[in-house]
Amino acid sequence: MSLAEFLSGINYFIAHLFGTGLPMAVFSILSAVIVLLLFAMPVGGFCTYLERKVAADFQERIGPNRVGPLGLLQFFSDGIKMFLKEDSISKNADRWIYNFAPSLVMAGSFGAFAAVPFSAYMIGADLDIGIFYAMALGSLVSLGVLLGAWSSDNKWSLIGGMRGAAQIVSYEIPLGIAVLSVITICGSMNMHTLVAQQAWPTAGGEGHFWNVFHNPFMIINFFIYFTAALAECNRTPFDLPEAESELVSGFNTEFSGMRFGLYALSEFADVILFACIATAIFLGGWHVPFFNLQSINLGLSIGELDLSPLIQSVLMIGVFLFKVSVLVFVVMWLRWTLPRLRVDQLMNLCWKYLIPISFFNLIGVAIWTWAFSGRSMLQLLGQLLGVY
Amino acid sequence: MLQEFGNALSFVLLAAILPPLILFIGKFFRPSFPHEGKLTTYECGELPVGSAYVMFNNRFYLVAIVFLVFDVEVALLFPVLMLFREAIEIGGPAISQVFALSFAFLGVLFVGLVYEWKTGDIDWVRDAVDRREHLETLEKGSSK
Amino acid sequence: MTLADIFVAFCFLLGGAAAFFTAFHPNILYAAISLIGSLVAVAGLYGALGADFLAAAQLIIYVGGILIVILFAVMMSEDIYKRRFFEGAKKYIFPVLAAALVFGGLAKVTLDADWSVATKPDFEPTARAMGWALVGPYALVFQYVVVLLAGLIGAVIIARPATKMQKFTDDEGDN
Repeated sequence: MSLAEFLSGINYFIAHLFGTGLPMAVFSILSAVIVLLLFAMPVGGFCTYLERKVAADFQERIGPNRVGPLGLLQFFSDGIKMFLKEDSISKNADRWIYNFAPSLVMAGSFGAFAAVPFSAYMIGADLDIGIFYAMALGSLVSLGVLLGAWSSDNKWSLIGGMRGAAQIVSYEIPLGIAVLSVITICGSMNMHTLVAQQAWPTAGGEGHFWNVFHNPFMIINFFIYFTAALAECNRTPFDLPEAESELVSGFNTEFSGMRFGLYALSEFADVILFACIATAIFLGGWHVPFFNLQSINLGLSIGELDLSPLIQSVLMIGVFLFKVSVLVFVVMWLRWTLPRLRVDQLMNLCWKYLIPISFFNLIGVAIWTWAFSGRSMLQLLGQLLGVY
Repeated sequence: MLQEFGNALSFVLLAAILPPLILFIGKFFRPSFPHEGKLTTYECGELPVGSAYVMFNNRFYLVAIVFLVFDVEVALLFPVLMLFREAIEIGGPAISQVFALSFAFLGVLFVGLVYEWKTGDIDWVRDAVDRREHLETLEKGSSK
Repeated sequence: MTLADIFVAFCFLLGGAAAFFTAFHPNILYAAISLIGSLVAVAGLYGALGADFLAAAQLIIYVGGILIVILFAVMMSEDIYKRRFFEGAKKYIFPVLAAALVFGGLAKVTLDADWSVATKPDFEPTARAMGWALVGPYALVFQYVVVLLAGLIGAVIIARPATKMQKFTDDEGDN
């Protein structure tokens, strides 16, 4: 069920009050507004604050603690500051492309949030090609980075943008192949199916718990996915396109004020997006062990409108966001732990290590799935011990 | 199903409209005092030297071409590998079809990757191959 | 006029305008960038016709792959920002001829086709059917990747740096 369908449950009340319900287009736009403006943007902004606090922790200092309690309103004041800064565009910058590039990057990273299954009843768009759609929009980001770097009339931006585009584009392949192995196990690209398949046996699942523990190759796949996702988001150790010390600020040197804020926001949104997708396809989405969240039925209902999906969704979203936040914390942890890779090391890592490893992983997963008819390690162990 | 496409489209449209909208709203709140120094491009405090549109090394282009072929491969493998579980349950010739064809597909491209590796096309700096050929030429020159 | 019809009309307009700019804009970089508009419009049309997999594949392959290659090629040409192409009307002869031939062929096919639509089609997911087609009747098409690989090797051989020896002895920093 998509979020728009879930929200259209309100039509029950509106039909009582006004006679007719609202058209689905309204709920479609409302779902986009809720996910993007009330989740992605605030959480992306909050991540900037969180990153500074995490950095401070790792570097044994305090971090922002002035604005608001514990400095929690820091990202809010940063946003207002960036909003109010002067927007100086250099004389020779290519105006049209300069204005167009952030739209491409935002469309790529925010638009893919439609494929994230927050709960069993809430996904932006319940597409049959869910995960493929997320990958398709990820490829728009490289275009936006390249065009933004070209249009700002700056050599360092151009170098950063070219490297950035080459990096994002190269790492899409191990990313795609890691996702391919998940699809080989699950037999569907639909995000709801991918998550539902990882349910605990008592919850009606097939019994293989999380996809990452399905077979030994999947564990490697998870790490390949995570590494490739780090490179896609231009995060350390792959943050050469925005290398602070080498290329001034890389491809976003000439973007100032809110324009830079949009690029930074879309970078964090990308991190959150890849963490959400990794949680959904590898870490079991909103499933918890031993308990079936979909069986919670407190019998609450307003008239004929059953409220149990709402209550279940609240818990499911909580579990999902907890797993996402663990992954996002690991991404931030890596930023302050690992040194940056040089550009040729970066390309070598992709083409000479990750791609061959992911190829062989895909073949290994396919052979495992064929040999054991899709059963996982835990299932086989359970059958061996006679549990089921 | 069209409804779901509409949902996805509203996400993408909203995301694409956000940057111009935010910048437009900000236009009424931002100061604007253009000054010669602010309008030149940033080159670490110096005046910019030369045009920014320099010619680039074609290693970027090589990476892009190799990426293109692998991208098409990954995109085409998606619907085929989706059938894997189903084909296993059907059994018999279906599974061997899916297996054989997708492995042939992967194998052909893997051979391509190995070729690129050996000839040094995916090296960022054409180190290994150039060094080897340079040494060979030196050897030939000195052994005369 | 449902929302889907408005969307299809918008895709036609966007695609047509973008294709016009691609063909006629004097600045080659703007021409390459307006190709984005035309390819995204085609992806939108695929989506409006119910071909979900094809729309996403169009975005991945064309916009995310081929356009990057084109943009890299354009950005690496010398003096692209200053050069203006299309001088003189003689350069229009062959393209107009080719376009007229293609248009004639498409018009004939369009007018000869049987356009009776009985009921509104109920869209179904296409990815699975496409998968079975690719390993079934169209397996040879699937294996045409060999041709793609041959193209790749050819392009890479042509695009290799010309003077390898000088590059090594110069030992310049990488870009």
